[in-house]
Amino acid sequence: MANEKSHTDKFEELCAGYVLHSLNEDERNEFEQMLEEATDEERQLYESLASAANQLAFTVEKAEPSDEIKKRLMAEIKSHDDDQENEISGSIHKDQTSPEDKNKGEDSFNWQAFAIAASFALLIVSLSLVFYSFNLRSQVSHQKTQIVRLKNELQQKRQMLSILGSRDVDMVIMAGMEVNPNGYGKVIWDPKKQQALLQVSNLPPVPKGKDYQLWLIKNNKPVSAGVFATDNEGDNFFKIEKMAQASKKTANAFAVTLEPKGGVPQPTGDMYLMGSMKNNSSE
Amino acid sequence: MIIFLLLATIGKAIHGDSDDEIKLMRRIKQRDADALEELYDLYKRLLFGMVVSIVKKREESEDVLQEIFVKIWNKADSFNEERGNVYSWIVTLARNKAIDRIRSKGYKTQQKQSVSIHEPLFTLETDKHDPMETTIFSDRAELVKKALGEIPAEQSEVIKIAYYRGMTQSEIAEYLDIPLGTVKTRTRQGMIKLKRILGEFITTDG
Repeated sequence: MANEKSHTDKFEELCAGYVLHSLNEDERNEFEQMLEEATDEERQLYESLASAANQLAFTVEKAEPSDEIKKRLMAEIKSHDDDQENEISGSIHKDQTSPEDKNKGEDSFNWQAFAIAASFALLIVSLSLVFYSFNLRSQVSHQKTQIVRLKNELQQKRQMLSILGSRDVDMVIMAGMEVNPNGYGKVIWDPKKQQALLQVSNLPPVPKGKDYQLWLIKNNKPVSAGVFATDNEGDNFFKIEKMAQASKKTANAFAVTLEPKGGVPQPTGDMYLMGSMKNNSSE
Repeated sequence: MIIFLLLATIGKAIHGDSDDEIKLMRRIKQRDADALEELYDLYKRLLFGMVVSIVKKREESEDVLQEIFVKIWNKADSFNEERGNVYSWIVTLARNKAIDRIRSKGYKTQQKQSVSIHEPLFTLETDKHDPMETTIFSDRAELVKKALGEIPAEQSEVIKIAYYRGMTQSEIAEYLDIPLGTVKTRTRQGMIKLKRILGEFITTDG
């Protein structure tokens, strides 16, 4: 018994070293093992020794850490919590801090600036919508006139084609005359309906105050068959609605002259095109 | 006898003060950073002094101090107010951190030759910092110094070296050039006496 320590002695000895953190690792593990199996009395001893050891801290010479540490600490804690908020859900701290954070966010939100920014944005949006609608409206009206123009054009072409489709049509080819040798033209003529289709090419655009005038040469006398004007782009097909009354036999030729605007009863100007009736000449 | 009664009264008053610390801990558990800041202001000088006495190097001690409070923040939930007081929990946590640091492999080789032994100073704190800190801690310091004074010097010596410098019993034996068994015996006897004397001052301290 003198050499061998009792369990209580051993416990006390390890316990005293343990509370001072002065045991080596093996002894520490040994004591922790003993503590797990300790009696209430032993446990009480451990707690009072630990408390006594902790009291020693009061006698330590106090020292002032630099102010920087506090800043570093608070910053680290903030970053820790930010991390945890991302990772953990449903923890106490989240439940308690998130509404607070929310309030903070609302407080710091500048509603006035937001309202101003929003009204500017709204104004810009409205202006662009107005501009857009104007644009659309002008586009629509432009397209409407285009549609009207195309409808008219189509109507005209249909009528022209209807002339081509008639049973008895004659075609007179007109050649360019001296003033404009490159010009040429055709008259497709339906004597019964008194309608004709005129096509001209390579005629110079009409000067201001002038018109081209088509003449039907009937019994060797010119009879006006209508006026027309060409332009550079030249829709150079014309329908003649009311052709002068004439039959294949009485008509000799067609001619185009340049006359004062609106036409004249008798030709006065230069002749640009002329073509004779084939059947007449053959007959 | 009169002085003992007086000290006991102060001790009880001090113990009552830890209610404030419990409130701080509750706020910390609820992630109140301001509460941690208050706790830091209350404990920084005590803990930093303790860490410096063990770790020695100021810069490294500051790192440890920071780690201690980060751990307090993160482990606040493990503090059980039924089982112990705030002070004991924090001091134990802080000492563990400081001792972990000096017993880590890198630190040992780096510090071995530079360990200089000096007697810890038992001066009463005269600076007026946090009034709460100054009152509580310096009153307690008086109690503990008184208790240590009543223990045989050879026993209090090993206790002081162990506590203030974080040395292991083997290191103390080597340093004092006495057998390890003697260090163990003196530690045991000294601590039992210290416990008894402090227990007379403060009866219910956890």
